[in-house]
Amino acid sequence: MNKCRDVRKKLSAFQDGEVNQIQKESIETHLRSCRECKKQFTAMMHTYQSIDKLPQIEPDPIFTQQVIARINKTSLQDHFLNNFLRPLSIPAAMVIIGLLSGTLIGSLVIQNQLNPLELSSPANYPDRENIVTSLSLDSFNAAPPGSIADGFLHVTLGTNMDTRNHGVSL
Amino acid sequence: MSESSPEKKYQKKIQTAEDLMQRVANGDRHAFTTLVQVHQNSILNFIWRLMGDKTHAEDLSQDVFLRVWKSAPKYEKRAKFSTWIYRIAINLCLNKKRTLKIKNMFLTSLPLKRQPQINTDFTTPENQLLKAEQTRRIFDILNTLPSAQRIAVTLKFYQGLSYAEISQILDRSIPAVDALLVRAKKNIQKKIRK
Ligand SMILES: [Zn+2]
Repeated sequence: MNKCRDVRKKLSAFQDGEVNQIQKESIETHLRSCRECKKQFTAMMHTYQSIDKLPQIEPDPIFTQQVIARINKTSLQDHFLNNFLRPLSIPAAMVIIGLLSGTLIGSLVIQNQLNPLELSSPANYPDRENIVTSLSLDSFNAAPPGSIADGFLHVTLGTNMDTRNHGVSL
Repeated sequence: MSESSPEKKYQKKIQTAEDLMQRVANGDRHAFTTLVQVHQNSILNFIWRLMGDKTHAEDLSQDVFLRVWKSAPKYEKRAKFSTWIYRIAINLCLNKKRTLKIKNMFLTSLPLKRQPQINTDFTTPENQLLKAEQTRRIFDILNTLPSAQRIAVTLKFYQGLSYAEISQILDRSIPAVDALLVRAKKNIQKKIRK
């Protein structure tokens, strides 16, 4: 059995007081007689000596108050979030979804009523805005085709039902 | 009602940090104040030894206790409080080091890089200079260690914890902690031989 090798394996733990009593006594006995192991142990002792004497720093006298102040601040933020912003977030999300879906549906309605071939021609492009505007007015028709209001308008204004799609200019 | 009454009351009962944490979990601020007062010194110095900068140590110590307060409901009484708080401190320090490293990558070309603030309030002027120089030399040595080794050395040598406690904090086996310290000591030897 190589005693030196066993001792050196345990040297660091021995220095840190992390060996049992039997190991401790065995290592101590060996260090008294083995110059090489003793030298290694002395070098190891120097490591801790070299980082010893690091002073203690003192916490700020108002450290606790500072921590409590930060907790109060975050508690207030959490309270605001929980009691004001979070309940608002559901209606707000609903409004946003409503607006987005309205925009999407609106644009789909308009796209379906436009002839893509007409728009692809650069010559027709300047008219696009007018078409979109007039069709937008159509899509907000207060008297949709087939409704009682539509029938009333038809009778009172005497307009042809077929021409109505090209703009209701009242 | 005197200002110190809550602390005195709790000191009389001699409550463990684990007991106090149960109350902190229920939002008890007096219990929390006691915890801060008992552990602030140890946490501040632990972080200072890991970071080597007093200002960072002060800010991070506050962050640690803020995290303790916020995470208290998640704290399990089975876990030792000191293990738990050291873990919080280590995680925050490692995060900070990572951000500082990234920041420094961009700032190295600038001449006015902030020097670590290591000066402490040493009483007499002659001691002041000597101790400041000594402190600087020690941080020079500690700075050469990789993070895990530095944490292990700090927990063992400065905080006085056992290998078993360190192994719990670092979530490593006891032989792994032993190996970490052996490597750390070898690195320190190399540095001081220079
Ligand atoms: Zn030997």
